[in-house]
Amino acid sequence: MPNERHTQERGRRGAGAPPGHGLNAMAIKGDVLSADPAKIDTRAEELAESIVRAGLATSQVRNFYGAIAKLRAEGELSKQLRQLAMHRSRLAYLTARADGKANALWDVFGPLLKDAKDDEQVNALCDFAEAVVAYHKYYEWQKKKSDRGGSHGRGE
Amino acid sequence: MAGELESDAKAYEHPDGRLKDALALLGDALAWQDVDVAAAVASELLAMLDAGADAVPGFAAAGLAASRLPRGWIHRLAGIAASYREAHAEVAAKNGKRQLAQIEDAVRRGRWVWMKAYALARATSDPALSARLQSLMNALAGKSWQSRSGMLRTERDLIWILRPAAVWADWLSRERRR
Repeated sequence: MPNERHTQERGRRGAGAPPGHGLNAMAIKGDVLSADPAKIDTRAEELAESIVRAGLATSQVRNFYGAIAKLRAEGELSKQLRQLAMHRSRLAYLTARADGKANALWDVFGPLLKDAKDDEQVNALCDFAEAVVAYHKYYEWQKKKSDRGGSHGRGE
Repeated sequence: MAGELESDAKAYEHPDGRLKDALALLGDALAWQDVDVAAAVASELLAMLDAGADAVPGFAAAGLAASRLPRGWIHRLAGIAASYREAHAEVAAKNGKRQLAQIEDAVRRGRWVWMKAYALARATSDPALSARLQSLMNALAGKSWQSRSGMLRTERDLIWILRPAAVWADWLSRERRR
C-alpha cells in the first residue's frame, strides 16, 4: 500500500519532513476544494510537472483519469462520492505498482478523493484531474523536445 | 442587426474609460487597435493552416513551415477562446464593479490555460510549425505579440481577440476551399 510505503519513507526522512516531490499536499487540497479555477490551474501544473519529472507514464495517468471522466457523467452526488472512494483504492493500487513514480499523485489525490463532499468540490476535483492530465501531456512533450535538443522553454 | 452592432461599437468601453472609437466585427466590439491585431492573428492562423499567404489583405504572414495544422485547429482555438470568455463573464458577473484590468488579472489562469497547454502539446511534430504556434499561444495571456511583421500591442488581452480572429480565419479558409 502506498500509505505504508509513505509512512516508512517519512520515517526514514523524519517526522514532519516534506515528501521527496516537495509538494504541499494539504495546501493543494485547500486550493482545489476552494473551486477557484485559477488556483486549480496553478496547482495542476505544479503536480503535473512533478510527476513528469518522476517519470510516470502517460498510460498510467490516463488510467487514473479515465475513472474520473466517467464519474463526471454521473449526475447523482451520492453515487459520485461512492465512486470517488472506490477510485481512491484504485489509485493506491496504481501507486503501489508504479515504483515510486506515482507518489506525488497519491499524496495529492489521496486526501482529495476522501474529502470532496459536495457538488462544487467534486466538480473542482474533476477539473483538477483534467488539468493534471493536460499539463502532464504538455510537460512530457516539453521533456521530449528538450531530450531531442529542441526548445527548453516552459512555454507558459 | 446592423443597428445592434453599431450600438455595441458605440457602447464599447476602453480600459481607460473612454467610450466609442471601436468597430463591431464578427460578433464582437473591438477597439480599432485590436481589429488590426485580430487581422494579423487570423492571417497567421491561415498561414499555419494552409500553404498560402496574403490571406487577409495587408496582413501577409509569410515564412511558412513545411507542414501545416489541420483545419480543425481553428475550432480548437475557438473552444479555448470560448472557455476564456466564459470565465471572464463569470468573474464579471460575480462583481460588476470590477475594472476590466482586474477581471483580466483574475482570468489569466484557469481552464482555458490547461486546454491551451494540451492542445499545443498535441498540435504537430514539426519543430518549426510548433515554435510558431507556441509563440502565438504564449502571447495569449498578455497585451503584446511578436508577429512576423513586428511587435503588436493590444488594448485587451490577446486571448479576447482570439475569438474574432478564429472566426475570421474560419470564414476565409472556407472561401479558399471552394
